[in-house]
Amino acid sequence: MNVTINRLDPNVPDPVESRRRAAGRFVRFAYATIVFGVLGFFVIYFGAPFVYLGGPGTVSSPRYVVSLPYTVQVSQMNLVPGATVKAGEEIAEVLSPEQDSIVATYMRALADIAGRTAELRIKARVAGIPRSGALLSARDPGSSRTPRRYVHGHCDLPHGSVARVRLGAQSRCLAGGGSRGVRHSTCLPGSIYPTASRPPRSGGAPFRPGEGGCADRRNSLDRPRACWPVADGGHADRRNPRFDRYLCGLVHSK
Amino acid sequence: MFEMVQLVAGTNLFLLAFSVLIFDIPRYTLSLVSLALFGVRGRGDRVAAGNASVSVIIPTFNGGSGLGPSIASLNRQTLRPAEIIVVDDGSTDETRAIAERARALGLVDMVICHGTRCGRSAAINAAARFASGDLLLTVDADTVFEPIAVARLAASFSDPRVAGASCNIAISNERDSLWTELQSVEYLMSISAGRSILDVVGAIACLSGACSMYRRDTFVRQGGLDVGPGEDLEYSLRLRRLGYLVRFVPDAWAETAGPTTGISLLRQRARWDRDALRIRFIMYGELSLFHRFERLPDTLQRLDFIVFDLVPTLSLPLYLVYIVLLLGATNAALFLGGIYFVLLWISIFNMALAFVMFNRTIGLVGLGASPIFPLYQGVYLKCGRFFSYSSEIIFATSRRDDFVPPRVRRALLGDRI
Repeated sequence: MNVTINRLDPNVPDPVESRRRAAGRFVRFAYATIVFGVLGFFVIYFGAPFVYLGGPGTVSSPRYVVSLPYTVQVSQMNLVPGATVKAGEEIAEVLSPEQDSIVATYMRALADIAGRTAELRIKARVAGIPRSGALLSARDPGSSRTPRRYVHGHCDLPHGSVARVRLGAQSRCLAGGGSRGVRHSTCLPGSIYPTASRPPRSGGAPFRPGEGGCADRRNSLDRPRACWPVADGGHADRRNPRFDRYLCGLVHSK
Repeated sequence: MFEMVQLVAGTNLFLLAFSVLIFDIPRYTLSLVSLALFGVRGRGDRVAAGNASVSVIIPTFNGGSGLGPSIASLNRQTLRPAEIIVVDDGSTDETRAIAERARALGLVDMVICHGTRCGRSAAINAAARFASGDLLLTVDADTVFEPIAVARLAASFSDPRVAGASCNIAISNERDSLWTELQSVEYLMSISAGRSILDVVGAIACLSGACSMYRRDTFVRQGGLDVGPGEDLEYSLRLRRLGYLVRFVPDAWAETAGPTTGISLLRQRARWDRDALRIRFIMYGELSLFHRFERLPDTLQRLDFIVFDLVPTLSLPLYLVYIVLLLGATNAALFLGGIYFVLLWISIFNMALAFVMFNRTIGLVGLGASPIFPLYQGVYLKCGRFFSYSSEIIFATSRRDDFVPPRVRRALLGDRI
């Protein structure tokens, strides 16, 4: 059969080259980016709740520290998963036995402090100690030397109380140890020494809030409270560190 | 339900319009209403010229089981074919023996055997060289014609500008499964109704390979079918580009078997969609703004594919992202459900109209499948189409289509596979 084949008409695509042609590199790249981007969106949108380990639900707002961590019991939750929360909105009601315990402890300590303050004030008045300017020092009977600027030996301090006398850059905190006398322990300047009716621990164990003695600064709960100067009106002379005296806790000359 | 309605009522027009486009439903409403109002144009009513001779070509690869009914239906035609040529394209089953037996019985005029598989295009091209009729009718091995189909097809070639025509297709095994029922409804909408309207405006793009008729001298002069895949679409577009007319004859019916499972259906559609994208956009550049010698029907044909196939398919994932971000996942599902419920009534109206217009009957299973038809067409097939388009654009997957024999692919593409 003799037929003239006119396959390569210029108005139609070439049968071989047109089959070999593919989409351009830019088109492929752009299209693949869009397709995989959409796929990724759905994977993340619907898969994130199964992967995210933040607990029930997902918190999308930034975290703000409102207090030190403490154990709570959730008594009422006003939210459902996926809810939108505005600033200032009540989201839950919690009970904190730990916080209540801590508050109760501190309140008890404050009450104890107030009681001992009153007791010491009475004793001082009875003993005839003037109200102002007295350097509290315990004198070693065996020594002829002038009173040293440190307290040592037996000190008539109430049981469990703490007095601290600062000597320059070093301060020593003393714990009233009852029959065992004063026990010395070296504390860093500025440490808080809350007092309570409980006896101090033996063996130099760090003190905790509510206990007498030196607070261990390594325990974050024993956050130091600032020491206050002598409450009898005497002022701490910061210019002469030898005469600085800071009495924490119960020791007041009033 | 009330929440759904509230959501739908409260959304803006953009969301609503796109959701309608996504679900694909009103696309055929306009076609069906227009056809119902003005009637299906019966150009095939004219009897074919007395000297029109038709050569039937049946290429087959391991399709011996469907060969018998197909040959029998061709021999029952009112316009008897001048010759029936069976091409065995390297079959490994009993296909050759069945064809030889049919030839011995006088049911088939010629059997061409390829020693090794060469592909459907090569089989048809080889048979065209030996055909003697004025018209070539290419038929799949499992296609069965109604008695007057060939005559009506041949009658459309009375216009000398017509170089190709295809007939209406139905699913022969529609009762086999839910998937075939859904395909049956889909063929009614997209082929019967959709192509009828496109034929009115001269915008037919694809002559179905299952049953298409070509003018033989044009076919041979233009070099026949190219190496596939998608050779039927490629040839149709080539004819259009060369200025010929391609026709659709809605009252010439043929039935072919459809895939019975969802996966096989997806694989078939993946092949069609990849081929359509490659041939239309990469080979024929149909995304270009202007084409030399382009006429209005060519533009309409392009726009039909771009507006109703490409845009809804490629925008589906972006649209889903948009409504999920806008409404949230739960409300987005409710919104789509509400849209689906509203459009379902239009879909049922479409189906009812199509069944009446094309004189088709629907069984109970088909009736039961009608509520999920929008889900099938608008979601299931669309997702498959999106995947096919993406794989073709990114990876040129059609190069590895196994409908084209590997040695043919290697010869064509060399090291590009």
